[in-house]
Amino acid sequence: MTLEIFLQNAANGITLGSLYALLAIGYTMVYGILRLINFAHGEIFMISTYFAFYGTAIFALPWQVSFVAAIILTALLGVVIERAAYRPLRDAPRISALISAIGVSFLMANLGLVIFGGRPKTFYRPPIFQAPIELGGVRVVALFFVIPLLTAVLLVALNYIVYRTKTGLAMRAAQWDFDTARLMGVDVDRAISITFAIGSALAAVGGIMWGLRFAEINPNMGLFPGLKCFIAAVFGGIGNISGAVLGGFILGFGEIMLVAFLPGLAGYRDAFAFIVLILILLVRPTGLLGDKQRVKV
Amino acid sequence: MADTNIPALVCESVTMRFGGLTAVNGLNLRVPQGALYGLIGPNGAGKTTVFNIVSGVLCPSSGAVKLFGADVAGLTPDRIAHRGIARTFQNIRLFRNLTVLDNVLVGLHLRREANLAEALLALPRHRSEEAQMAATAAQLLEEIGLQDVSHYRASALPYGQQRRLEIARALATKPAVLLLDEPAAGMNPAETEDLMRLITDIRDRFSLTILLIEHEMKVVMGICERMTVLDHGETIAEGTPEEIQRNERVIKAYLGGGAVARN
Amino acid sequence: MMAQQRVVHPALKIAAVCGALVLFFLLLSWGQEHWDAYTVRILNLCGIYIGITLGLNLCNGFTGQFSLGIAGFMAVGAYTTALLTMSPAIKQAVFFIEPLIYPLNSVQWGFLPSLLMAAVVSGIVGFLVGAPAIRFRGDYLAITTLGFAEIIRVVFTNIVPITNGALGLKGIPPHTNLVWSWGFALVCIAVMVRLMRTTYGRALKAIRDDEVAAEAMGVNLFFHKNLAFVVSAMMAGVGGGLLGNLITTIDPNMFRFPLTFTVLMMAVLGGLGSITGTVISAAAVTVAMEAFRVLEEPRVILGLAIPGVPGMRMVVFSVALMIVILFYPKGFMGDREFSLDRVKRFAAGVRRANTSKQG
Repeated sequence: MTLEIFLQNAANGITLGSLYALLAIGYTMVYGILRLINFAHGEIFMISTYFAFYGTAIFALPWQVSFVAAIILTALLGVVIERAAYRPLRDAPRISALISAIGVSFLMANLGLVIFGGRPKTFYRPPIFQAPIELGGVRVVALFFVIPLLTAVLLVALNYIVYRTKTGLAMRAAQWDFDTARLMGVDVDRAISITFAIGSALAAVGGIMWGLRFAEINPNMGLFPGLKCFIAAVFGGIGNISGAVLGGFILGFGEIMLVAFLPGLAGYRDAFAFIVLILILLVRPTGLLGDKQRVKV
Repeated sequence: MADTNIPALVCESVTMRFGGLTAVNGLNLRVPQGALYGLIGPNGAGKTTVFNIVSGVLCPSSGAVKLFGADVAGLTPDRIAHRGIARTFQNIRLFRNLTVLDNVLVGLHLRREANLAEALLALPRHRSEEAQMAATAAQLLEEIGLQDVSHYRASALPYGQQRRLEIARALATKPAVLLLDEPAAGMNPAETEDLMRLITDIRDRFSLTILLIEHEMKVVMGICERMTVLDHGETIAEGTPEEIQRNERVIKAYLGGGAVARN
Repeated sequence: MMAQQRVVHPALKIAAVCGALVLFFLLLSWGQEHWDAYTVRILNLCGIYIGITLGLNLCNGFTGQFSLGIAGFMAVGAYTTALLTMSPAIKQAVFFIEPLIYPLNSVQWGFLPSLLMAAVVSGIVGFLVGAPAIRFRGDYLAITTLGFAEIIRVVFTNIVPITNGALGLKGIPPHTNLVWSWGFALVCIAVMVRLMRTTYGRALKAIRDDEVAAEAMGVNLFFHKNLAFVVSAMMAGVGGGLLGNLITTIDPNMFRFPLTFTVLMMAVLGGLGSITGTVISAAAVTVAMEAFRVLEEPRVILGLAIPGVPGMRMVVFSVALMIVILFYPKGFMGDREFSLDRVKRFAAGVRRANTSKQG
């Protein structure tokens, strides 16, 4: 393998890793606060791409407006899903909430199929992201720089919100214990809603970038990228935002490199993430950066 | 178990560390056969950690736990139950959706003889065993005073009866040593009184050795023959109730202020 | 306890049950010939899904080990049965990319041994999946088993000399009929009913209610959880085998997560932890699945051409699942069982209420 091909693959890996990271953050934040695998997160991601698509394709909005609108709508969607499908089950057994999440996931995927149609749609790609840039003999489009940079910027912003603002403090307090947080004057419901809004907004950014990168969107694109990103979050240490980002990068990068270096195993690409999951849970269930959690007896 | 001089339960310099925190430090405990032994101490003293080690939920960082002379530290909880240690839990852990009777029957499960195939095919050994189990369970419930509610769901019982059911379920495993984790927690004085009578009673009737964690000083002082006092994982005293009550360190660490007023 | 119950001699009871069974199967084998193909197909699917859903319920409901791997075990059973029942000539025709490996290419077994083999193989796979996975709790077990099912599917897509890869298998002999599918359902019902009446069944339910307490009472978690997991996998495997020999073509993509979702939905609607609830719900959902097919077919109403809407069926079922989980979280039956006693008690209650109203 030449250096050029390696660099090309590395660029692919970093891009995919960034996208996984953006989605994994949503999983890790929701799991951190509700102890729930938000199965519907992948579908939130899928629907965000359609919001952006319809903004440009049907409402003929400028892409900037369309993308921003898509992010806002997706954030709202996340909040609505939590209100409708998770909040009523907050005191129910955790498995009920999980079943509800699976139900929402299926509902949205199939609603997507009904409303958007099963045929893939072509995502509008503004030329600015396609501008070629040559660097060290490797030629890539601007998008390959935009995605990781944007991810980094969002991560800094998210860290600011979570660790430097009152809202972030409320979210972290709710992660520990709802009742205690309430006694301390934290509006837990609001903290959860904000968590869903932020997670979904990041998924929307990821979705739009996904559309820009792969050009095609379809209603079934949510479930498996979603599950992979949940795995990335577990890999990094569930509940830990930096861990989710790290896990996302490792998983995205690993997936691309697996295919690049061992083309014979390319067919096993979709199993790769699950094998990683099982290994990590067996060897180090708390993930790379996670804290130890134990069952209280 | 023939030799009555072997203590029922021994902890030899048992230490338990969670990361940087030492929950139990070098605990030495010697519970003679047939004793009713107390383990007391303020909140966070490490009492429940000791129970979790003895019952196999936790594996001690170092030290040995001996049941009639045989080391059991590090065995899984179900193996330890087979060896003859049963326990109750501080925050009641019944099988909430099972009936009272079924809760006790689960306790009898580990002494089963019939294998899975015999059970599935309803072969004679299984059928006679099921009948026998039902009879044993009914008898246990009667002895503990729950015979009238045996077909209720466990979660439907009032608090005091739930605690009693936990004891009945533990007795069903035919233990030699019974660990009771704050059995009187949340009970009113009358219920507590009843419970104390029950505990001494079952000790004699089932020839048990009982190790009891208690917060309520009255209970321990009233029924335990000897006790060990823990504070922050350290053993600060060991002796008879009278000795403990006079012990300076205990009074300072535990009985000080509020507790004295409460007594 | 009900006071005086009529005592029936056990031998009489057994004779009555046997008689009913004989009649039932006579009816089924008569129906196989005389009912129309559509009805027979739906009834076959009902029997198969009753068995599979009971298996899922054993693991997810009765034992509380929330597994999402059922589609993987169905795939294992379906491929095992198909490869054993297909004739060597058909196998040679189907495996045109890469030939099927020896000895699979030259064997042809009867249906019963093939199904038993499917039970064994999926049971072994169930153990291999379960042994490492069951130490995880709750949603981690769910996602791990989902992962294993995906891995099974991906592996099946890639080991072409055994599975024919993504093309799948065609020309599987249509052995499955009403007697087979309902025989399977009845065996599964019998196993569940028996198991839940034994001390082993109580131990499984104890694990569901409180794992820590169960272990402290001497219940070996590894053995009992694996018991539930393996039996569940075996039922799924045999069900998968029956399904393959009913529809005669299988490919790896049939066994994706939506299949698990369908079975899970049947179990949840009927009540996780209820045998009768599962039977009723699995049959009802299977029928509804077929009935709602019209939603997705293009048709003409009052001269208006309405195009078919793919996905509409699953929208309906997802909404149904959501409503149940949000408003009746225990499903149709919860963990109760439907019995004549219960009906009698209920009827007595209604009568008493009526008389007291009149009085």
